[in-house]
Amino acid sequence: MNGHLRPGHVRRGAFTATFVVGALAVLTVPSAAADPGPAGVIERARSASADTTIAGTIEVQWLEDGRYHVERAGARADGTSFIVGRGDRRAVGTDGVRWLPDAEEPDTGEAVAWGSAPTPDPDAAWDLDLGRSSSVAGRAAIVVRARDEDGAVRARFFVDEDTDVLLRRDVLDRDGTVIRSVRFTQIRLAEGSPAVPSPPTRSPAVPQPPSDDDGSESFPAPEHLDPGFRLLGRYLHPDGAIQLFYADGLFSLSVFEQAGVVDWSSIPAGGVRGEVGGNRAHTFATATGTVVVWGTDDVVLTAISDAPPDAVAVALEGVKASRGFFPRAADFVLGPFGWD
Amino acid sequence: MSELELSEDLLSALVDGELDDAARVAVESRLASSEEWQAVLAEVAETRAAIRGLAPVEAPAGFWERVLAEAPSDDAVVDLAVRRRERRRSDVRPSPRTVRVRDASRTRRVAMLAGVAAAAAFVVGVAAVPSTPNDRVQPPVAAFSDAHSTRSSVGDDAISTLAPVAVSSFGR
Repeated sequence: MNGHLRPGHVRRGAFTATFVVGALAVLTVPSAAADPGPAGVIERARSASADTTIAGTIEVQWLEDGRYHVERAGARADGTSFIVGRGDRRAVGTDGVRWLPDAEEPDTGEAVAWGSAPTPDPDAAWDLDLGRSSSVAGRAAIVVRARDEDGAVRARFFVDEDTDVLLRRDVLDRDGTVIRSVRFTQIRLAEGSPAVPSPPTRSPAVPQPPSDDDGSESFPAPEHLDPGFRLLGRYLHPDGAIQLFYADGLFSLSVFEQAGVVDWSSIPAGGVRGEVGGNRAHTFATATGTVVVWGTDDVVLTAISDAPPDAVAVALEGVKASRGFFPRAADFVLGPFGWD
Repeated sequence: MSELELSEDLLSALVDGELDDAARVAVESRLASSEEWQAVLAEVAETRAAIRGLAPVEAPAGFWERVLAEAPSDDAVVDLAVRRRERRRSDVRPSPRTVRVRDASRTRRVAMLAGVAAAAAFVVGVAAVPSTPNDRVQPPVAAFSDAHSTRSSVGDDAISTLAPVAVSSFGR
């Protein structure tokens, strides 16, 4: 062999290369569309229940003080609205508005909201991968696992293979124990049309994201909290409480601030006593997630998150209460009269 | 072009809806270019909301009698409100000076709180007093939990996010 390619070899080589590239393209493009990857599966699941007719029973399990609590409720959706709950505890949603028609707390008015950043990507703070397919309530499910920086699985999401509806979500501790789980135990898809209550005639008591972001800086707050939370919104509730809302792509965290000192006698029974930033704190495991109440010299803080408890603890160390309500209240009372 | 000089009085008037359209546009335009004054505006709004959320309190016995006895006349009370509105109107004017954010007057006002808060509350008819740092607070964890879950459900799977709220009795 002389090492030189003849023209015929060049043409055949070019043809072969073109064929291979074309074949790869044909094989790759449809595959990418059908396999969105773990983050894409989560993204689809976020909105699937809003577009699907669903009737089923949903079960909530959570581990508190070494014992599992189990509660069940009905869930229905008709593609435009949904209702989940039982008895006098129901949550309703339609057109991006959510409210609790049977909430015990009085509706005291509309909250003021500043800023509404988009929810981070699902893999912004967690390593996602696909687990082995599973089954939930008799339906085949894709399993997405979220791992922490040590590689431990800290959450699992079971997504319906046909409809993208989220069938089950688990949160695990560092040892792999499921500490909270929300799952359908029965589900029928594309059947029936649920009766969803009409939207409230007045604004819900809970704040909704503002329609636009005017960029105003309202309350000083950390834009980021470790391990991966980002500040998405600030809300001023009618009772004067400030809500700082964070999310990391998979989980969310709210920090509520009120002027004053904690009345520890009013704190619900149970839970675990501890510290946040050197201040006395009380932590509860609830159906919603981890609830932490603590206080500084003049601010009462309440945090609620569905993230793993250790991630919540890390995040709260970054919260700095700096409200200083009292001087501002004094300014409000005295300011209009110009005593200076 | 000269800049509008902002003041906390102006912002208070803005929050109260007491500015006419031209003044409001001028103040909002100036606010848009100042993050510091945006923060002050937020404080004013926050404080107003905090006070609105307070429960009415009864004045101590003999309080009103003492205040009325010391008030010069009804006209004096009216004058204070008139003066306030007049000063706000006069504040809405172009000024070449740089906006000041905070001054010693604010600190002085805070220091004067104890002596004049009661009289101020009387003049404006405010039937509440601001929280003090030592007020004991019972955090409404159930309502907070509802608020958190409701907000979380926007942008996430709504059914699985709100199901815990629908079954939980924590804090209720």
